[in-house]
Amino acid sequence: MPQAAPNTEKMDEHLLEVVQALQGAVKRGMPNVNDPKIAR
Amino acid sequence: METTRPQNVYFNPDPLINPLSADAIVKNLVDLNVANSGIVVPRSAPLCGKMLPAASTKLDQLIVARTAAEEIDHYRKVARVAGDIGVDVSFVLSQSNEKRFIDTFRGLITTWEDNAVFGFLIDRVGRYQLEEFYDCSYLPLQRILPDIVTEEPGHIEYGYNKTLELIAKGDEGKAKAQKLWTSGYVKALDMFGHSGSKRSERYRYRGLKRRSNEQARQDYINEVDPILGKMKLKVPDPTKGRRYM
Repeated sequence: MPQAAPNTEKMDEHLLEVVQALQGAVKRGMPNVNDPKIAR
Repeated sequence: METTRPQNVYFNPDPLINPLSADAIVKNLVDLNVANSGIVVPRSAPLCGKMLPAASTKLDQLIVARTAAEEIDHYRKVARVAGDIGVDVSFVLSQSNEKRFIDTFRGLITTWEDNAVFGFLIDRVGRYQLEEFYDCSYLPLQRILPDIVTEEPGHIEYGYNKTLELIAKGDEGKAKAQKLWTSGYVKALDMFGHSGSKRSERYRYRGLKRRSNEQARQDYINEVDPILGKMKLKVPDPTKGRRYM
């Protein structure tokens, strides 16, 4: 079996955190999209 | 007696080919054609850097943020497959945007109109290229595809809707859309690569890809041209300005 590149696991975990944070922010923002109090 | 292909192992149909060469072919495919080709990472960079702050509405801002998240996630999944076979594609993350872009993308997304055309034309090419790996003989690659391919139509649809909005603005908007489509269309066709590519044929022989470059390109043309017609835009000359025929 070929050997995994260094930091494969860590990079995967880090990017997953980034993705989840971004997706979480979008999810929280969607219900308030028409709220005039929130500036663009 | 029927034999079962071992799970998680690349299927090598040719016993004369050294398994190490087979590994090299898979690495080459994952590195050049998927992870490092500019399909995923470059897409998220302009979205976060330019498109997101310039969005005209809050909804657009959120949709762009979601698209960026999905594109980053696509990169993550493919980078994991590549990393697991020893191909390190993390360097792409620390490159400047300009360097990171392959020729096809360079300078293409600087405005919202660009983003619309990009979503419709170029994300669609991404979908085609990813669909090539359906039932591919390298199972780790095959496994990550359904989620990725499921998300791409949303990006394409968004691009389509934004293009319609541009056309609806009148003659000026329509002329702008036509100009962007003409340029994007040629770039999209180039993304399928050379017709008669030997490397592409090797991938097909080994069960990694399904279609030849020219067949995938023709399928793309057959799908996109009628949509252009419905939008009352002229179908650009498919040979003008092409770099790879």
